[in-house]
Amino acid sequence: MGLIIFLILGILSVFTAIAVVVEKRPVYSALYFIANLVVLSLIYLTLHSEFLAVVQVLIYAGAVMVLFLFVIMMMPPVVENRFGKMSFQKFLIMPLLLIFLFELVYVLSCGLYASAGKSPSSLSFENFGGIVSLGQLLFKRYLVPFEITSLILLVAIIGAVYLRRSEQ
Amino acid sequence: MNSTLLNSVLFVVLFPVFGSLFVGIAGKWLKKPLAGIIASCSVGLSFVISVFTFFSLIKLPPDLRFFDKVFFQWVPVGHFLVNFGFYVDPLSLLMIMVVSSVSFVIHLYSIGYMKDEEHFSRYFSYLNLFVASMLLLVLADNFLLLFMGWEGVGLCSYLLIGFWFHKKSAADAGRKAFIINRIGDFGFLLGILLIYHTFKSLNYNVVFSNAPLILSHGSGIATAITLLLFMGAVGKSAQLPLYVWLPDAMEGPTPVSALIHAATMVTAGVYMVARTHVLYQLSPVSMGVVAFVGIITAFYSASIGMVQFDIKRILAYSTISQLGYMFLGVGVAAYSAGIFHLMSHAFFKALLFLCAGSIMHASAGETDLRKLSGLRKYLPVTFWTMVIGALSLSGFPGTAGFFSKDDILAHAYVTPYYGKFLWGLGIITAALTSFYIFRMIFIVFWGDKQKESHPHESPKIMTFPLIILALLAIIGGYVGLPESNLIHRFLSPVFLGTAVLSSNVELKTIMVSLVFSLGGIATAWYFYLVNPSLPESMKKKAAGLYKLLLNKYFVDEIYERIFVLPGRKLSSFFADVFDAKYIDGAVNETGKWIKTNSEQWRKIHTGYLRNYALIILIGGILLLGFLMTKIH
Amino acid sequence: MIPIKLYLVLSGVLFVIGTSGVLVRKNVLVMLMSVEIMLNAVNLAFVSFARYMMLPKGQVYVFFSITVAAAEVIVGLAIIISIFHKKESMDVDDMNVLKG
Repeated sequence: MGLIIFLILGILSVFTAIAVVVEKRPVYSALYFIANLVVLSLIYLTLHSEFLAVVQVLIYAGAVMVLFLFVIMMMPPVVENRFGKMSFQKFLIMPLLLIFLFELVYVLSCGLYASAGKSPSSLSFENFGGIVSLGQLLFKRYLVPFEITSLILLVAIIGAVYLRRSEQ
Repeated sequence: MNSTLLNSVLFVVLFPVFGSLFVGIAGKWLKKPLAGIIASCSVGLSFVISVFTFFSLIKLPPDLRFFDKVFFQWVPVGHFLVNFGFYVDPLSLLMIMVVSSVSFVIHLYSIGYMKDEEHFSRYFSYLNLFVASMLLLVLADNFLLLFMGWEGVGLCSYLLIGFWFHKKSAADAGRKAFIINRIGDFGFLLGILLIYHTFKSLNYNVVFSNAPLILSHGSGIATAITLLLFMGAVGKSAQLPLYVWLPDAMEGPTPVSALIHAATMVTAGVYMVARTHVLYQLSPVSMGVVAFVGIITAFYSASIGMVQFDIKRILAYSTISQLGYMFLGVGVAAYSAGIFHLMSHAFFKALLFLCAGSIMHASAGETDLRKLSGLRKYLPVTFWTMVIGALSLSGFPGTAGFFSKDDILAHAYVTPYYGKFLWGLGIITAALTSFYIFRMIFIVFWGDKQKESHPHESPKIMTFPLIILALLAIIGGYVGLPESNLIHRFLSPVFLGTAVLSSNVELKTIMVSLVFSLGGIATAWYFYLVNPSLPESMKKKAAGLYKLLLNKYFVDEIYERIFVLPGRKLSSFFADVFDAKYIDGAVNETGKWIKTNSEQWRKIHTGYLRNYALIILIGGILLLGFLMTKIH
Repeated sequence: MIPIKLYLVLSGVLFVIGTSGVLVRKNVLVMLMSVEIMLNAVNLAFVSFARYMMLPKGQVYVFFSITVAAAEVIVGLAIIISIFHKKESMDVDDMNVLKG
């Protein structure tokens, strides 16, 4: 049962991701990307990472992608000519990507898995991935990095504002 | 001793450090005397602490007067561990009392002497740092910390000798002091490294307690260590052949000369040899070298001092000569006698230099004997105190110099190896010493030829230190009376197993040296007061010798010829030929090569983002491929 | 229990898809989205490792990476808008000031 769900979700995520890349109109790309994010958050759920799943939908799909859509709306609609001046890249990309895919899948499925060691026990599932265990970590052990991320966000906001202002 | 007091020893060094920092940083906003007062107070506080420590130390039984107080780990690197700790024992305590008291007096004097100086606070900042470095050097409980103080003293001497750096001669003298010290320090550092190599530690306790176990008597390593350490002492304490910086050091302000010659810097070498006497005891060769270098330097520079015309220069050669005595003392295993002479020398040499400063103050900076005369009437305080200093220097009975110098000579007399020779040269030097110092006294203070200027006595802030030092120069000797000999008894726990004299021998040698030193004074009196034409005719008779002495045996010229000129030539070769042709050439050729080739290389910067991404992808592919080969 | 291998392979495939988007597309916005896909692929790997090794701190890293990604998108979009105002174009190939 779990496997079937995973397969459905996996195929969906791959499909939506491919759609982001091949879709000619940016708006559709963005919509597909939102779909991709939702599918990914469902995959997180199968991994018992409920909090992250929620965060994924809220922040990515909710905030970041809305920002993307805003920007896309501001732009005139364009239809792009994929390769243009760099036609030589067309012939290189496909084989290189295939080699890369092969290597990645090989390394991920053979190499690192061995070091991952034991299969998970289903004993301490209750707390795992829940907001309690994550909160404990975030506000105790990772308090300083947590505060620093807020600083990063602040810097990003100021940077964005400055970029727009300095033009005018 | 309670631990609070032991902890407070840290402040002996910290007070001058803080004083230096405070006066150096806040100096701009401090009114003139205030900076000097703060600096003096910081040194005075150091003195107070050291006196308190002294009194609580002498309450203890002699065997328990040793403390190694560690404040923190200074350099922990693997197995190499050096602590920041102070070694408090009779020797270091006596030294810090001498250093801080004499420095305090010199600080006070400087307030008056430097009152017209523009960079008043900078001067006092350096002065405090100087004292702090010297105290650190004395109190250190390991060789690395000693070396830190050692280098700090060298740095401050450079800063202070070149204090008036806009004057070329002062800047040169500062550099000369620094460079020549560097030569000695090179050997000193090698000695420290060899100590670490041999003992795997730099702590005094570890090194000294293991030294008799690890090194056999007269072994090569012991000789090598001690000779290398002595090389540092030769540089710092201005012995042959590295003494040349000290006569030039008078380019600095006169109180600085007093500080360098009396309390800080030059005595460091004697202290270091006394401190490491356990190692020196293991090497008769090194002891012999120390004694011979000492006595030859003493004789050599005393002979130069006889014919010089600059009062500060005479005093400088006198210091070198007296340091030679101290090295003679520690070289014949009379460590406490050497330290005793160090102490009394600190008093009377500081006194003499401050008197010289007072004379300069009175006569518009004049230091030439040929232009000074008849100052007795105008400078009564300076006159009397300087006479006391001169008597002490020449070993007049009842003064500090009398007891300490004769102590050394008596020990030299009973030394089995060439003892009679060392002693003979020593008393001849004593005669020379009293001759040159009284030559100076007679010329400066007697006579009546007077120039247009009106000399005047220095202010109270300057004469008061003179009086203190004059008192010390007399009573300082009574701690070492031949019979009771407090200083020997105080220092004897440190210097176990050193020779003890029979008072019989001491009396005999005292008699002889007394005759010689009084003879020196009498000769000076005859030459310069009774029969002033005699020196001129002597000059003519022994023209060659006179010229040799006047030009200081041409040592500066020889060094110039042997070391400085070839060094200059080598540098100018590197600067004009090597640098211009090869270094610059290499840089220019590289630039040209890149310029011609970059026309081709710039084409890989296509400006297309996706091109760059493709190249990153290729990099990723290569990395992953490498990872794949590692998996199985 | 689904083997971790499958999750990792999925993450690898998503990563390659994202890469292809960066390499193929000329629209800056879509390129940025492709970069986000790559980032999400890595996040997925993180989450699955965290799950399989029972280490919640893996999730903490994902949390941080999402936050930083948000910041990155803010600045990235601001830059894109600035460039668009200058060049009147969304085409990366027009942005070749660094051409040697």
